[in-house]
Amino acid sequence: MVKTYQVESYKLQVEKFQSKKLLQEPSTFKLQPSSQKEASHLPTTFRLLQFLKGNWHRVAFSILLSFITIGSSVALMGTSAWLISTAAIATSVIDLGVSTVGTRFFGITRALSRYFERLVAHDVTFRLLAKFRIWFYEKLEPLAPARLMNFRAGDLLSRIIGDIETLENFYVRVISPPLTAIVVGFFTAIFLASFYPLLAPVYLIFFLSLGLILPWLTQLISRKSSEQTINIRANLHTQLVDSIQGIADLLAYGRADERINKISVHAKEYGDAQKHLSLITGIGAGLSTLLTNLALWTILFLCIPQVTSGNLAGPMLASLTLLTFASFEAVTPLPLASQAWNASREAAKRLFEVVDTQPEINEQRTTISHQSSSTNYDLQVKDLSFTYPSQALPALQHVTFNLPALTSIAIVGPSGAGKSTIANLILRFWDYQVGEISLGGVNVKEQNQDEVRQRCGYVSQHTYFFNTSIYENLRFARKKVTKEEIESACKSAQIHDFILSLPKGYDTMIGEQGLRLSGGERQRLAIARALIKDAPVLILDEPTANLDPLTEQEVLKTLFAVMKQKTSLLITHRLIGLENVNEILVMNHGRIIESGTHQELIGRDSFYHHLLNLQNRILS
Amino acid sequence: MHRRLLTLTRGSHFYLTLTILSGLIAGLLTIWQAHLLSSVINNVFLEKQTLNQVMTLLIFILIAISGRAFLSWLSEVSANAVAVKIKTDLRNKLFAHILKLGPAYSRSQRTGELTTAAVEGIEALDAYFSQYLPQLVITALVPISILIFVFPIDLLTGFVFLITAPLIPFFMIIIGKGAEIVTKRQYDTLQLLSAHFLDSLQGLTTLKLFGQSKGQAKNIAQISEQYRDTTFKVLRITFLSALALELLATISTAVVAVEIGFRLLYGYMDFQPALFLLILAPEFYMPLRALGAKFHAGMNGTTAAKKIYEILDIPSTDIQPSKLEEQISNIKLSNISFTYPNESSPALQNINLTINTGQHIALVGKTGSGKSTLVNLLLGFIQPTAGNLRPSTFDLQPNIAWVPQKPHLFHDTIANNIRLGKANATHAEIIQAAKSAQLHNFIESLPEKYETVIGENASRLSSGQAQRLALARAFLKDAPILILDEPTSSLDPETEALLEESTKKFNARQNRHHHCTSPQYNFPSRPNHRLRSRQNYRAR
Repeated sequence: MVKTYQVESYKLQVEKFQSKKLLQEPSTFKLQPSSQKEASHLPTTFRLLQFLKGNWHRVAFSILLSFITIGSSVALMGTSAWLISTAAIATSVIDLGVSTVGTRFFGITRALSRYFERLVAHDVTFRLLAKFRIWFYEKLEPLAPARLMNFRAGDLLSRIIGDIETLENFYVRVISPPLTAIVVGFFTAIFLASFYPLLAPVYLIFFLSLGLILPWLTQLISRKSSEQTINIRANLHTQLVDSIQGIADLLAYGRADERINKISVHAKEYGDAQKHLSLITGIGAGLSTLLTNLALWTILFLCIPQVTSGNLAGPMLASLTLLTFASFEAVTPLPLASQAWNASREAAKRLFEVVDTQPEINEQRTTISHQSSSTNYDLQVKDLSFTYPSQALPALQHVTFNLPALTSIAIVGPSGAGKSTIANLILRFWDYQVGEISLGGVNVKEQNQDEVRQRCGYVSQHTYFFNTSIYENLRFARKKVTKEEIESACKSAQIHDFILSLPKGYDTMIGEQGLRLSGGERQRLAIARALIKDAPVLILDEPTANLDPLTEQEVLKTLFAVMKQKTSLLITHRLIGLENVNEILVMNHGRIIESGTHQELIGRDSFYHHLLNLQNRILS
Repeated sequence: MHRRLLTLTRGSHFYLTLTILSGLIAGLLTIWQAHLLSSVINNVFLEKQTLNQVMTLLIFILIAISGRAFLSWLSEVSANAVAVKIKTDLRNKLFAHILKLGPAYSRSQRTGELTTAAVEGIEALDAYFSQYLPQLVITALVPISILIFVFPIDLLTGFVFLITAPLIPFFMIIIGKGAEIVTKRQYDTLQLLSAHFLDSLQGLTTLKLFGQSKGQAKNIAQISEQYRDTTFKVLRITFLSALALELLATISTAVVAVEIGFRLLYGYMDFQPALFLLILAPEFYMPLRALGAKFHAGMNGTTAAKKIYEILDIPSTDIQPSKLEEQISNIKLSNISFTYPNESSPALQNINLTINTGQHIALVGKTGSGKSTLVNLLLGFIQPTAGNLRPSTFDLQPNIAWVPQKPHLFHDTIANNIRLGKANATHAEIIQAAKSAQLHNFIESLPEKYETVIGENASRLSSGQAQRLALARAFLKDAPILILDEPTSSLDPETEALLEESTKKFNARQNRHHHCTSPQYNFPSRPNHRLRSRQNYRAR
């Protein structure tokens, strides 16, 4: 009898969880569309602007400072030109008035305001950053883990981080420059108009062309090439990353040279695209030089007849021409601002898409506190059926079992049989559709999520550790836990001696995701953490996966000792030491197909017996 | 580092010269334009000329403007050409070198860092060569040419320029140093905040399990606030040098204006040259300040270059597999030892082993006992620190089909991923290999079958399926030596049994070595030999 299983599991494989590097590819998050949209869905930019709430006075101050910065340099040029022009026709120092002081004054204010403007802008940036992070975390918290399954694979979480980092520059690059430009343009135009009204519209035309039309136009004509270049670059980078990660496979199959050629072909393609793009973006740079100087020329051209006719005082000719030129400093950052705006909007759109997702679990308002029944931790599962969203086949069908307090059950079966789903449902990571799970005699759906989880210790194969010390990683498992309690849990988990053997003992930093520890050490630490939590129910989901057999044996020994004191559910596809549990449930295709003790099951021609034979052939 | 980067420009002298020339000529045109401008204003303002009388000069200004516009286009295009050439060359060189260094190096270095160097690192050089370097040359040339024009006109202004100019590079260096600290500190701060945030997001489920997820937001806020505070204090001081630079440039413009203003007043100077000097004053400081703006690009470039050269400077052995036609009869390891660089205890110690044709060897032992090191040695990824291997890895490698524990799936079609085993394999051969690896049925169930693109984000395979795909590669390569590295660690017993059947069949066809490292249940169920490697715990 040979059966083929559906090996593909619903979970996305996490083993390729790599470095935090982002590929520079546009990404979309594959989320289930939210069933109900939020009541008000404002445009992305508008929602982004709301983050500045509470900081508007800082924003206004920083824009004022940046206006003073540019305004000072405009005034410096204007006053200087006026000064020397007047000096050429003046007869005494009195004619120069305050202009000699003015030039120096503007020189100083420019430098000072620039200094303070930078400080304020940085302050706003950091404040915004903190706001974005807290906001996003708070929105994400209720979505975990059901809605986040997809984010693990392909490093989407890192991409989210990247998107938030893009938004860091939202204020400095996107908000501040255009507002400053508007203020500078407005006041310069008024100043020009006060001497000769025609100058204002002419000036504004140039100002707008440089600040608005030119960036827009450049983007328009370069869009196709730049999209192409980005795609080619993303492709090249994917190839590079792919090749470096697969280096062993390439070399083992003698494909290094072939890859080098392939990469160099892609690299050349990218280079050509980039050169082509520079032909177009170069036009932008050229036009910007042209327009700025043309503005100066036009103002001069228009003023000459006015001077000749006596409508305009002679010294103002040089002054107006030069200050016009200086004011264009305000528009130079605008092309960059429009690029940054696009990037921010895209990033924000993706983030909003995530936070607009509806949480999987709807907390019922009628939650009752169940302190009274706290002595009873029977776990009962009745006729439970469940289908994951966007999946055709049900993950669980009519599952029923009873786990009385202080006994243990093992659920075994091939991967994809639905074992882990049971754990997910008990812990209320998902809500089930049909049937009932009750803990301590009360339906878990009627209990508060946190309350349910508080009663369950959970050890899985993907145990997560924070990048901090061993002590901190253990301590957070329970409020008000003493050092003695932590150490005694570690002794039970047989990790205490190892921890003491480390140079810094419990204060040892365990690195990103605890990766400085070996797999066996991490699992033991996870067991210790579950023990510290001291929950009456213990759920173990493949606690020894990814461990080598010798380590596995040792960890299991520890676990079985611990399980004796708890109501425990062991989920595994490795059939080892199962004579230690009170009952074994064998699952396949979402159903329980057999149950019994280890002795009962191997006593007959069971599926369990068959699996065990296959697995232990080497031992026979 | 700058010098090393400069040697890279060797192949692109033409475009580099073009970039610098267009910058220099644009600078000269600016001086000419300033001269024309001051003449026009002088003629209208003092000589009372009309628009028509100054028309020629105005047209000349238009010519100068157009010239400058054209040159700024040209310099962008040619600067880009320089950057593209250098980037392409260096990227190819780096990639080839990484491949030469092999997986033994990339494993210790963490692939993440290598990919960063090859992807972001190379891109960071773009700005260095297309912006920073040309600006650096222009900063050296343009102020000097301005000085050449200024001195004959007015000694005093010339001296003001000459004295303040060196102060600017001086402040730049201070700023540079400061900026380097600021950039680094700010970068570190942001990285730290980012890492903490990522840590919180990744551990969200764990936090939830322990009922701590709601409090974490406060934690994030607190850490952000703390960092904002410390960074702000640092910035307040480091921005001071930028303030000094800014002051210097604006104040000297003001000083020049006042100084020439007074001499004009007392008739020691004419208006036209005075105005010419005033227009030139900001232009004189402009390149210096522009360099400041591009300093960041320069610094990023050198930082990236340092990382790149760190990799390029690691000596590599050239692996040149000789096209050995003769059948390899046996593999002999005598007294082989190996110690990883930067580690004290050896990973392999005095290994003596002979594997004859047709023999199946199972290698069992704890994680970290040296099994994978031995495989890496046979594959030529590392060279033994002592002892002798016959035949040499150069000859050995082409004769090995390898199924790693965690095979890499390339971002390509399934067919091409299997084809890695044999470049010119026909479709029928690929299907046969997939069938042998028990993967054919699964592939056929996919909508695009063998043309399904897999890899990072495409439809994913489970780790068991990935291993079977690697097995298909090995079957396709059909080499005399087969190495299976924990081939069934991700499979359930049933699939494992199926696979065993096909591997047996496969082996029966030919006489081949069969080497397997497997601490799991043994896959080639009856090996001739089992070797247990002594536990050799290596602390990390």
